[in-house]
Amino acid sequence: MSTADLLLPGQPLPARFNSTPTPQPGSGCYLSPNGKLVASIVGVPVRDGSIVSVKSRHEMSAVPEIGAIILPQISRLTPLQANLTISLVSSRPTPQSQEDFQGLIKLSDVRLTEKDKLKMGECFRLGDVVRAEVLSLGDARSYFLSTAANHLGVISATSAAGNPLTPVSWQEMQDTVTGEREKRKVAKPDDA
Amino acid sequence: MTSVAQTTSTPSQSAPTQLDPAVEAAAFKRLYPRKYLSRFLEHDRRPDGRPTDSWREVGVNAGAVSTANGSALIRLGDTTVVCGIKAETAEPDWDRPNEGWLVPNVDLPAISSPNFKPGPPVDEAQVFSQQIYDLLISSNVLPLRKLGIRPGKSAWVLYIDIVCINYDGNAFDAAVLAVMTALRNTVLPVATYDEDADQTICSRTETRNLKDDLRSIPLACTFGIFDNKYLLPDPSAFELPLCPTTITIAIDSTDPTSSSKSKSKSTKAAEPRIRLVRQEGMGGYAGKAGIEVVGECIGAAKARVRELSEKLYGQ
Amino acid sequence: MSANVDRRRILGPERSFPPVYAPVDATASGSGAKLVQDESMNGERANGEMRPLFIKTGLISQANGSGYIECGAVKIACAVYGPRPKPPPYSPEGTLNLEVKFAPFASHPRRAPLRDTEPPHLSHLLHSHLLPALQLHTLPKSSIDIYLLVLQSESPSIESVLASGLTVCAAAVADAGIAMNGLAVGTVTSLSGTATDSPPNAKPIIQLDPDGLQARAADARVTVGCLPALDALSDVWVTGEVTVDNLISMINECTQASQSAHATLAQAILEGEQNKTSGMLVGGT
Repeated sequence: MSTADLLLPGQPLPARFNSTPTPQPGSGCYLSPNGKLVASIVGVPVRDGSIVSVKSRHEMSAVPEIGAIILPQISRLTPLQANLTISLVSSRPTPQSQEDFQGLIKLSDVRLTEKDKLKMGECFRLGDVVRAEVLSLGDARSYFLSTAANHLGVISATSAAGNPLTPVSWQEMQDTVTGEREKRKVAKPDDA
Repeated sequence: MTSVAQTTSTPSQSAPTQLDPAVEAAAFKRLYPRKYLSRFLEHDRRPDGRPTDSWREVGVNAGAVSTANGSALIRLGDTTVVCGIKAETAEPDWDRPNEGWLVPNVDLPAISSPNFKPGPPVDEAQVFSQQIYDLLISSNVLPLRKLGIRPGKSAWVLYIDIVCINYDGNAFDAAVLAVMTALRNTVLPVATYDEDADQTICSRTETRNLKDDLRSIPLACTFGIFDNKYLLPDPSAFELPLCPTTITIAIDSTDPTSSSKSKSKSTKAAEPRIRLVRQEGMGGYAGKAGIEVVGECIGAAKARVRELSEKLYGQ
Repeated sequence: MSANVDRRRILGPERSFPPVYAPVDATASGSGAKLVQDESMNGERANGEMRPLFIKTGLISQANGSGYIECGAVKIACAVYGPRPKPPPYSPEGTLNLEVKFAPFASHPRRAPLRDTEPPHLSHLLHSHLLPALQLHTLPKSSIDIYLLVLQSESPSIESVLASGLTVCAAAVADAGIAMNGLAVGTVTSLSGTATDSPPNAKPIIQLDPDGLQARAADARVTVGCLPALDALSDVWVTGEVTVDNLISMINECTQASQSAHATLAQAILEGEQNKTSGMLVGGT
């Protein structure tokens, strides 16, 4: 691959991305005081409708942002909320660190329906890997997450006996060895 | 190279997403490190692409730092350490008036790994420093008497500082190799003690190579044991936390260029001395465990030290 | 035994001294000179000429981004970790943590750990030189940790470490894919021949990229952080005594030199990108 079309931080985007009316700056670029779009990372310019962004050619590690789908792991459970550690954002690992990003799912954000009958212990267990959406930047410590959609919820878990579980319905998973069933808020599998 | 690419894609098959396989593999690696590692080992590969029983490539660069009296930069795969030796003078201790000091200190600074924080040396670095000191003294690498300048008045202090720049596991082996290479690279000015001025004066023209005073040059080889099943030489930063037991062996190296000449003189020299055997973690009770595995390690370490010797003495 | 003994390190004697060399003997020459000072190796260099700059990105595989720089005798490695979660309290902007560390063998005399007061000062200066180049508002609740390790320096001058440090930070941040307004580069000039005790007919001499001894002997030193692509300065640090006119010419000299340093930096970043691409084809992650 050539480096001819690569932009560097501080470099204005080529004229065809900078024509008037100036497009909206997306990620990887910004509007400079003189009204030109300028790259802020090393990458190639991409136009998507009225938004122009600069995309890195390499999968950079990611940080949680609002609306992103992430794969956090349950680290603590109380009757009212679940705490999670976030190590994957949009399937990309977050930068490795001694402390992971923290997420939090409130009981009201676990699922769409029958919120009043819900018990946290029947939705998640410690160590479950969950597919969730980032709702907001949250509080000082945690991002607020939600699993209230069909495609969101537990995607990987182990049973009380320590064996892998497979989903059998939208609220049950089955031990692959003993056949015992456990309750979870299950994410609809990709292929279903 | 093709086999490496194949094994990279193997563990990603069960990763629960739809993206590019390299990203998928990275996600799987992060969430299920143990499974990730065992998938590779089942195919006789390590996650960095080498066969299970092999070591990473070594790069030795002596004399990299001009502000030191002796120095070395070592690369062990991606692990990179720099050792610089600076000589100062001091008054000897009263109870050993003819001897100088060797002061090795290992630093694993925050620059070298996401798991280290800025501040004083982390525990691991403190342990390494002590172990290198013990190895230097117990193997009599450099007799401390060789550092005396004037009995009771003046002696050399060799500050041997080892700094890790990139910590991809097994920094100890790299640090030992760096210390030995830097010692061989060290040049000291010829020093005399001036009684009247109560001062040690160094010559600007005359120097001495420390290389000529070295008695033995031990090199270290570290192994990790994964799952009581796999013996992993030269564990990487990813593999190391997954190995509950590690074994380190240090063996004297021999100069491959001179050994051909000395062989005729004595046959005893052919068998190198073992300077250190250390097992951390209690080991297992089945599979790769007990005295057999230590024997296996010593055998593998001997071969590795021969390989390292060529790099070291080639400098 | 005193209470503040360092128990985390192997200690030598209580007091030790850097080697003291015999007075220079005019007839002497040869190999021994290497041991004395390795810094006056610039030889013949014009005042407006920078020493060759060597930059490489991506050498520290454990980091999210990294760089290595050599300029004269200065050698610095830099790693960027992040964005990482920032511990409470909540902040709508990202935080920059920056630490400069010297290897104990990086200068004359040896830098004994804990006795060194220069690194915190240098870290602070570098922080303020780099900050205007970053876009921390894009990283709420996060921090970027930048660590520099000086492997070799030109004592007694820290200006050259600051200037090269800024350039290598920009290389590492770009390598990490973290947003910047532009690439920052650092340059130094020194001024001599203007002090009150210099001969009356002496002309001011501005030396670009002075080595350690030149910088110390100078009347004033100016370090400039510059974003050449945006035609902007990020910081100016002046030590010594200098008139406004001379200061302006020194800054001008720095910004001109920044252009060529910027070109070298840009080339290094593009080469680093290309290495990443070929590395991925081989199958590394």
